[in-house]
Amino acid sequence: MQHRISKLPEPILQHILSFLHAKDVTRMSTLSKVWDSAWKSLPYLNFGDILDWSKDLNVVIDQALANRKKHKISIQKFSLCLCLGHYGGLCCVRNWIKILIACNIKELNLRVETHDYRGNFVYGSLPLAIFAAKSLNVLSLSGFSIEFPADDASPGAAGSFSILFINKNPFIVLTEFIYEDASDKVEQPCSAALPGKCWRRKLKNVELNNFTCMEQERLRNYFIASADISE
Amino acid sequence: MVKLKSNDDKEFEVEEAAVIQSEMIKNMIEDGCATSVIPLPNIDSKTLIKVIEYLNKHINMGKAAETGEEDDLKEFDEQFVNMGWEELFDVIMAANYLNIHELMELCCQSAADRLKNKSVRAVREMLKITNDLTEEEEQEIINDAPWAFEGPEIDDTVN
Repeated sequence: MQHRISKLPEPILQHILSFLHAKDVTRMSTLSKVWDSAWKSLPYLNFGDILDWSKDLNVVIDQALANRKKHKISIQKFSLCLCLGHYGGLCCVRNWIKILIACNIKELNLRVETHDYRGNFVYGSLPLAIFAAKSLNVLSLSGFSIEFPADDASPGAAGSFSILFINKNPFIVLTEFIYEDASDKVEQPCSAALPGKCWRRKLKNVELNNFTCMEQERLRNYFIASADISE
Repeated sequence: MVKLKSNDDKEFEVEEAAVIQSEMIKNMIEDGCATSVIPLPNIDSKTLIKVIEYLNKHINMGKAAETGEEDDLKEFDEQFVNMGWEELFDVIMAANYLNIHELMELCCQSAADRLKNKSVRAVREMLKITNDLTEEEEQEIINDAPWAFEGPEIDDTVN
C-alpha cells in the first residue's frame, strides 16, 4: 500500500521538509517523483552548519539557487553557517546573496567564518542591494564587515552588534554584523562601504550588544539619529 | 459550547474558548455561521477526538506561562505526537483544514524529526514509498549532489 505521505498536498509536504536540512531533503528527493518535485521547488533552504566546505558543496548550493531563480520561486528562508577554508569562497557567498535577493528572499540567516593565510579573520562584503531588498523581513548576518567612512571616528576594537529594525510591515529585522577597524590594509578590500544615508533612514529600532559604553555612544551617534535605542 | 460533526456523523461538544484556536471556526463564529452544528466533511471521528484533546489542553495558552504550566504543556505535546505515521498525517490534514497553527507546527516538526538523518532506504521502508523515478533520474540526483548521500550521521535504522 502506498503511504499517504505521497498523497499529501505539496505545500504540506514542503512544510514538513522545511524543518529539515537541505542535505536530508536532497537525499530524500531520490524516493519518488513527488519527493523530487517537492525538493526542487522547496522555498526553504537550510544548509545548516558546514565545517568542511568543498567545491562539490559549492556546486550544490549554486545549483539549488540557480534552479529556484530559473523557475521564479520566491525563497522564504535561507540559512547557512559556513566555515570557509580560504577567503576565495567569499565571492561565492556574495554571489549567493545576490541570487537570494533576486529570488525575493524573506529571511536570510548567514554566518561565515574565514581566515587568511596568517590566521586573521577575513570579513565578507555585503552587496549593497541587500539594503534595498524589498521582501526581506529577517536578516541575521555574521562575519560581514561594514567600513566606516574615513572622516568618522573608528568605533574601536572588533565586536559584534545586533541591529533590530522594523520595516513598515510588522516584521522585525535582526541584523548582526561583526565589524572591525578597517585600517588593516589586508582587510580593506573585503569591507563594504556602508551607505550611511540608507541605514540612517531605514533604522527604526536598534539593539546594541556586547559593547562598552563608549563604543555604544559612538555607534549610536553614527547610525541613528531618529531611532529608539534599547540596550 | 460549539458542536462539531465528523464525516462519520458523530457529534462533539467543545468549549468555545478551546475551539476558537481554529482560525477557520473562529471566523465562522465571528461571521455568525456557527449557530447549530459545524459539519467537518474532511475529518473522521478518530482524528477529531485527537484534535479536540489538543484544543482542550491548549486552552488559555497565555495563562500557562503565568502559572508555570509550560512544562506540563510541553510534556503533553511530546506525548501527543507519539502516534503512528497514518494517524499523524490525519492530524496534520485536520490541523491544516481547521487552520490551527500551533498544532500544525507541532505535527510537522514531529514528522520532520522522524525523517531527520534517515537513509533513503529507511524512509522508503517507514513510509512505504514506491520509487517511480527511472534509474537514470535517480542516478542524476546522486551525481549532482553526492554530498547528500554520505556522512556518519546518516541513519539506516527503521523506527
